[in-house]
Amino acid sequence: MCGLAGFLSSELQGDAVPQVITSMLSLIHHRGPDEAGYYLDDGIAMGAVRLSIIDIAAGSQPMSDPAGRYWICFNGELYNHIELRDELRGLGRTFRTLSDTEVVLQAWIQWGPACLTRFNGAFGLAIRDAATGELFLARDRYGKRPLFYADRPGAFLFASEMKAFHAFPGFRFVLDPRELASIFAVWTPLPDRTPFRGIRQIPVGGLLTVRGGQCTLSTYEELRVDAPPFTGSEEDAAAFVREELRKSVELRLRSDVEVGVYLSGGLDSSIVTKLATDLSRSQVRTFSVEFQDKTFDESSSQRAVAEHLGTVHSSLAISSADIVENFPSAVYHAEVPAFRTAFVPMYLLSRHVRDAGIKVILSGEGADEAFLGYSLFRETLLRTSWNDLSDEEKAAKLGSLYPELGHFGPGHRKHLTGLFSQFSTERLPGLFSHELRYQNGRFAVRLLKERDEPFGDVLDLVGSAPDYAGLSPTQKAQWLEYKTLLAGYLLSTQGERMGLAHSVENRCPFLDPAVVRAAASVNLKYDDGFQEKAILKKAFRGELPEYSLTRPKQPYRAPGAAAFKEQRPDYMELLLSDAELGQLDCVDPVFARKLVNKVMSTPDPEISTKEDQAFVYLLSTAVLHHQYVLDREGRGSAEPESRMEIRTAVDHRLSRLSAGGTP
Amino acid sequence: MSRTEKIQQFIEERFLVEFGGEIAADTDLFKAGVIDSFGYIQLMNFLEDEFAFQMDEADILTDVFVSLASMDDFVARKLAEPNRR
Repeated sequence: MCGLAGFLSSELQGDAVPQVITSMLSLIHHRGPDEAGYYLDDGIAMGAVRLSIIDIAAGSQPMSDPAGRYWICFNGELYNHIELRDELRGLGRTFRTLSDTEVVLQAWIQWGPACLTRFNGAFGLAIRDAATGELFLARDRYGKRPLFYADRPGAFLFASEMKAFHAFPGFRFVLDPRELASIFAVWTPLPDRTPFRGIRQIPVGGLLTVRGGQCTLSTYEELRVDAPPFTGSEEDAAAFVREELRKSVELRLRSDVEVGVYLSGGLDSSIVTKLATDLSRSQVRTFSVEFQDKTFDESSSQRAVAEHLGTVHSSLAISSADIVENFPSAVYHAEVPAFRTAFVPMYLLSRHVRDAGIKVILSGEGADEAFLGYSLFRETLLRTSWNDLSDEEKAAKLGSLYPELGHFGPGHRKHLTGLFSQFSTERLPGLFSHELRYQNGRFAVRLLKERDEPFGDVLDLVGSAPDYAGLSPTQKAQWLEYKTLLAGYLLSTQGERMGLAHSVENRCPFLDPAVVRAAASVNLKYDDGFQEKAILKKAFRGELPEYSLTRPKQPYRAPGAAAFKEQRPDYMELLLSDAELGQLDCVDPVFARKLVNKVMSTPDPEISTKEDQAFVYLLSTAVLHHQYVLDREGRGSAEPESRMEIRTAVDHRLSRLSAGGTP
Repeated sequence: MSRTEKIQQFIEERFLVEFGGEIAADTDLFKAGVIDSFGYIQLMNFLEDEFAFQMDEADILTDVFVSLASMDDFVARKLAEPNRR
């Protein structure tokens, strides 16, 4: 795992070029503390910070082919690098290192952009062809690793994290009200968007080609949530799913350093732990967070699974004070507004894991999307069939939807029936599955002055997606979850960004293309979808504690607005002071004031979910504005890290002597 | 306080809106982002408790609970029912 950054610019010259690229890299130094390097040529600079995991001695970056035509900065891991290396050797390609980065480079030289569909991994990459002057940026198919870019007059910037752009002369962060409205409405940025004006991300499965100053964005692989149905018995299907998962975990244990596991106590991470335990030669170390507030705590499940599987378990206790104290730093790393605080404990957990000497962890992300784990999918199934069901069936199914939400309890069944009747037909074309959820989003959008069409861009996204219209309502729900909540929050804000803040890389066995395909081939074939992840449970019955297989899913959550109210940190002034709040140009001060006052004056149990979410959105936006737009904490003025070891510095600029640079 | 005012006040306090500006009596409160599922349940409970009636199956399957005006009309009709308890 690493981070990369770079720019195309003919205006920057001489010593300024290595200074700027070094400063950009130092702003993402946390992603790769082991070493750094850069490559310069006329009009381009690109570099990487590296967390050494495979071929620690020889895998330095940027790396080139022997002829020096192709240069690569690779952030991520290629899990099938051994198989691809063998295939490429068979085609006559030679290798100088054992690193997966060299496999990516040789695959690119051999197959061009068509190599991307062969990769099973988590990556963001930049490849420069010095012969043609082209630059290629690409990202993995599920969005496990980030890659941002800004196409500006006179310069094209790219980096694993936007904060690197701070170091480019003249760059300013500006919040984009239109993107904020979309983020508040759908919970996350859309696949190619960010909250900042002029900054985009390479969408999942996307390739950006920069040629002669022109950017061309293409999709090298469309997301597939459908697959030919599995033919065989339910037992065969369960065995098939188990075997695909076993292979996936085996691939993700490939590492020259120890691999740990994040154990939440739920089914998915328990399965990953079980397989990692089977496949590891040494005892597996597992890590989890536990909460003082028992509403959120899952520590008893975690300990039961760890004991059952014989792992060395370590748990980090998180209090409301911890969340409040670390919220600004976690937001700084997340770089986008968040609708809940659950990412902050993951920020602290990665620090704990790093201090324990672990650089790589496995986690359960992706299971709920692939195997229909979320209540959202059952809600979609229910609303789709709503008008065909008897009153008894409606009542029974409503009761099983959201056991964790009080207002879905038996006392409110009658009123819920009325609500669901209103949401049993599609209002937003293509977004049927998410319409009830998006009601919370509509509330948060009221925080903004410009809020006319918050769903316009997501409607365009699904409207222009090939084959989307032909998917079932449940598959559309999956597609949206993959493209928004998974990539835009779970893998990024709560996942990768929190891990890499402390140099810990995450790997997701449920997000192997073969596992996703296997899930699509068995979903809803042997059950009606109302028992969550039935086939997964069947696949691991007898191997996990019985309670792990039978307990209702507990969504991972953490204390929200109540924690800030109780702790009253200094940065709450960003919302409590009218002068500070007024600095947020895009925010409607009247509604924002009402919301903050209500949250501050209402007893905790009476703060509704939508108010809590809107409050966390507002606070995280204010913190981002403070850190990125106003740069009041001076985080953007990065002095080159004294700790950063520049191991590779290649300068191919013809202009460097005439421009007075240091040769 | 009139029936209409009571409903209006509840909505304004619970959902942080003010009628008269961009929110009018006939505004669809779902589309305007005022009500979510939790708020809807709160609102229904309020109407039943405040005006002492019970909704029946037919009531909840009609499409009346989207605006202040439609709720107000509904409560007025409900209160006028001869066999109301």
